[in-house]
Amino acid sequence: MHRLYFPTSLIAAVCLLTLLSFLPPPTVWCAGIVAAAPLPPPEEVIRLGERMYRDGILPSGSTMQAVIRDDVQVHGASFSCVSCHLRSGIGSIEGQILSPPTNGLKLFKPYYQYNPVIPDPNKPPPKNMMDRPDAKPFYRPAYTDETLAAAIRFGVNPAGRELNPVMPRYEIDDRDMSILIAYLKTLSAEHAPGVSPKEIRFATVIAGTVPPDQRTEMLAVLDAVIKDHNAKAKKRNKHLNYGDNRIVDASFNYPFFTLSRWELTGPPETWGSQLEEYYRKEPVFALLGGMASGSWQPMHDFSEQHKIPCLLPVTDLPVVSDSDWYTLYLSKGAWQEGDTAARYLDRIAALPKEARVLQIVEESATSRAVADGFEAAWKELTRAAPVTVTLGRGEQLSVSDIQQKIRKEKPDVILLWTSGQTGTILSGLAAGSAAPKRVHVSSTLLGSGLAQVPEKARPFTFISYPYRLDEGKELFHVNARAWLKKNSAPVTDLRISSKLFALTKVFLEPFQVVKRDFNPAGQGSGLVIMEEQFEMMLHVRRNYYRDYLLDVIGMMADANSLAFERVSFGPGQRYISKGCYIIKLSPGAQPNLIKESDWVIH
Amino acid sequence: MKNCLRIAIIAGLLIISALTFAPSQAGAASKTYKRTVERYHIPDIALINQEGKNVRLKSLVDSGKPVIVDFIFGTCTTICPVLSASFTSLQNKLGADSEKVHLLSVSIDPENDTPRVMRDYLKRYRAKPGWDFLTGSRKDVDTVMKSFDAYISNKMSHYAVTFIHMPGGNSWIRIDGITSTSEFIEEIKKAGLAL
Ligand code: HEC
Repeated sequence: MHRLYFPTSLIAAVCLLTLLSFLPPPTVWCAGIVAAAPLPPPEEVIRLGERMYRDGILPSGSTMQAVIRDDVQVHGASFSCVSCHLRSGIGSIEGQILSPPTNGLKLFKPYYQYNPVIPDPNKPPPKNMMDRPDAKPFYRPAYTDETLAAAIRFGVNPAGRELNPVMPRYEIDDRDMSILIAYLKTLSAEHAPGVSPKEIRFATVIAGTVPPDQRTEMLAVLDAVIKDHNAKAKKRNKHLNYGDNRIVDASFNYPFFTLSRWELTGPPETWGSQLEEYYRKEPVFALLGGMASGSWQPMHDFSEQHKIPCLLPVTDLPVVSDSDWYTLYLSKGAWQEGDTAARYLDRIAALPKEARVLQIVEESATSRAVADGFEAAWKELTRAAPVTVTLGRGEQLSVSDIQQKIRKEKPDVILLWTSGQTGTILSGLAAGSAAPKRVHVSSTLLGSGLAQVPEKARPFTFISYPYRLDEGKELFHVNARAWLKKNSAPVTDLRISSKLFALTKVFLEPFQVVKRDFNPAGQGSGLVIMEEQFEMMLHVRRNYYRDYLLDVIGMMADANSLAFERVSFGPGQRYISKGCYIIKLSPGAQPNLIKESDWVIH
Repeated sequence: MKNCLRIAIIAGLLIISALTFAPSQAGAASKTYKRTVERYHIPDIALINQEGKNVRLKSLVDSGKPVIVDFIFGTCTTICPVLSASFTSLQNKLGADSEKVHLLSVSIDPENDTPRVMRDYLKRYRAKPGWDFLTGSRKDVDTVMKSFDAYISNKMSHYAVTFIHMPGGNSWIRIDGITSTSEFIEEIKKAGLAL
C-alpha cells in the first residue's frame, strides 16, 4: 500500500517547483509564519478569524478585499468565505460549482478532489463517479500554513494547480492571515457532542402541559423516523462487514440513532436550567420535533447558546429572527398569519394609504404574535400603525363595545385577532346596521372551529390560513400518508404527523444511508481521504458537525409537503414553509375553503 | 483481494491524472462561457421589485435602455456573488451614469425573496440606481425563466446565465457560464454599449 503512494511525494516535489517558479518572491508569500505584530489571545484570534470568515471583515474593522481572476476588485461583505464554503467549512454545491472543504482537518491532510465544475446535473450521472468524463480527480498534498496562505492569496494549491477563478484571491496581510488560518484550524475540527462511532444521540423536548393526544402523535412520528434510519443502517452495516466487502476501518459503519425525551415542568422561566441539566447528563447531537405549552423561546435560546440544532419543533410561537442559526422551524407560525394579512391588504386588496385599521388583540401569546406579524409588515410597507384595542385576560368584547369603537374609529378594516369569542363578535357585526367591509381573522386563533364564523359574516370575513387547501393528490402525498399510517402515526386533524413528515427529508436525508460511500482509493492508507464529493456533499456522513447538518439542509431542493403547499430551503433560511393563504368560507355547516390569494404574498 | 487490485488501479489512475492535469491546469484561463445570439418573446407579466412595487417586465425591457438580465436569489452561495460582482463592477464603470443600463436580477427563490430580502441583497452588493431585483409568484417567475429558455427547476442546480439586450428588436446576447468581469464588460461593449 505504502509504495503505491510513493510517487505522490515526487509529484509534490515537481509541483513545488512549479509553484516556486510562478509565484511572487518568497518574501511575499512565505511571511505567513513570521507574524508581524504579536497575535491577540486565542479566544480573540478565533473571534476575529470567525469575523473574517463569516462577514469578510478584517481584524482592523475594514472590509476584506479580493480579486477574481486578476481583474475584478470585490469586497468581503459579498465575498466572505462563508458564502461559498458555508458556515461549517465543509463546502457547498451550487450552480454546478463545488466549493471544497476548507476546515483545517481536511486542509492539512493530503486530499483527492474533483474539478470544481460539476457536469450538468440534468443529465443522468454515470453509475460510477470515476467514469465521469469531467471527474478529474486532482491529488493535492497536505497544506502547510505557507501553502494555505498562497492558496488564499494567489489561488494556487500545494500541487501548483491554479484554483478555479470562482475562488477569489484575497489581499490579506501576514498577521491577518495567521488569524484566519488559526480560525480554519478550529473550524469543524471535532465531531459534535452526542456522536460516537456506534451511535448518535438525539432528544425531543416536551415542555409544560402538552395534551396527551398531541404528545402521542408527535412521539409516534419521531419514533418512526428513528426506526427507519436504524433499520437501514443495520442492513447496510451488515453488508459492509460481510466477506469480501469487509472494510478495515470500523468507523465506516453507520451509527445508530437514539432518542431521549426531555420533559420540562413548572414555569417557562425554569425551562432553560432544566434543559441545561438534561444536556449536562446526556449531550445530544441535535433536538428533533418537540412541543411546548407557550412560546418556543426558552428552547430557542438554549439551542443558540449551546449551538445545538433543533429540527422542526411543532409550535405556533416560534422565534422570528433573520439571523439566528440553530432552530429550523416549520413556519413563522401565528406571526406569519398577521404578516400575510398585511401584505394582502397592501398589495392585493390595494387598501388606500389613508385607510383606517382597527386591531383587536387578546391578552394571549398567540394573539400577540399575529398582531406582531401584522404590525411589522405594516410598518415595512410604510403604513401608519393600526388603532389597537387590547382586551384583558379573559375579557369578552361585547357587541355594543365594538359597535361603539366602530362609530368612533370608522375603520375600513377590522383585524379581529381573537380566539373563542370570534364567532359571537362576527355575529354582532353582521347583525349591525352597516356590516363592515372587511374583517380579518386568524385560523390558528380560531383553532378547529373555522365553522364558528357565522354564515352572515362569511362574505366579509377573510381568514389567514397557513396550510394547503387540499389534502394533496400527488404520488408524494399518497406515499407519505401510507408511510405514516404504516408507522402508527396516521394523519389526523391535529396536523402533527403531517407537519413532522418533513423530518424524513430534513433529518433523514442528511444522514441518508447510501449504497456507495467513499471511493476505495483512500481507504486503508489512513492518510488520504477521498470523498465522493458529488454525492457526499449532500450528506452529513462522517462530517458529523452541527453546523454542517444545517448547511446540508440549506442546500436541499424545494419539496412537496403534506401540511403545507410547499416547503423550501436555502442557506440560512430557517422557516421551511413560507406561505399562507387568505381564504373565505362558503355557506353551510361544512363550508368550503375559498382561495382569495396565492400561497405566498410579497 | 479484488478490492486491493481495484485500489491499486484507481490510485494509479489518480496519480497519472494528477500528473497530467495539474500542470496543464495551471495558468489555463480559457474561456469559461458560451456566447450566442437568441430571440426571446418577453411575456407581459407583473413582477414585484425590491421596493414592493408592481412592475411589468415587458415595459422594463422595452424602456429604450440597454437591459441586462440574470437569475439569482437572496441566500444563494457560490454563483450569485460572482454574477453580482459583475453587475457591481459594471455599475462602477458607469459611475454617475449607472442608470444608463438597466440591470434586472430575477429571483429564482420567490418564496424567500421578499422585497426586504432583495433590498438587503442589493445593499450588500453596493447596488446603485439602475439595478433592480424582481420577485413574483412562483408561476410568474417560472414563466420568465421559460421565456428566456433558462428554466431552473431546482435552485440548487442553478446555473449562471446572463442576457444582454440593446434597445429595439427582440434579439438577446445569451452568455452561458461564468465570465470574469473584464470578459463581461467586453461582451457588453461588443453588444454596442459605449463604456
Ligand atoms: C465565490 C466562492 C468562494 C469564496 C467566496 C471563497 N472560496 Fe475558497 N474555493 C472556492 C472554490 C470553487 C474552490 C475550488 C477551486 C478549485 O479546486 O479549483 C475553492 C478552494 C479553496 C481552497 C482550496 C482547497 C483545497 O483543498 O485545495 C481553500 C483553502 C479555500 N478555498 C479557502 C477559502 C477562504 C479562506 C475563503 C475566504 C477568505 C474562500 N475560500 C472564499 C470558492 C470560494
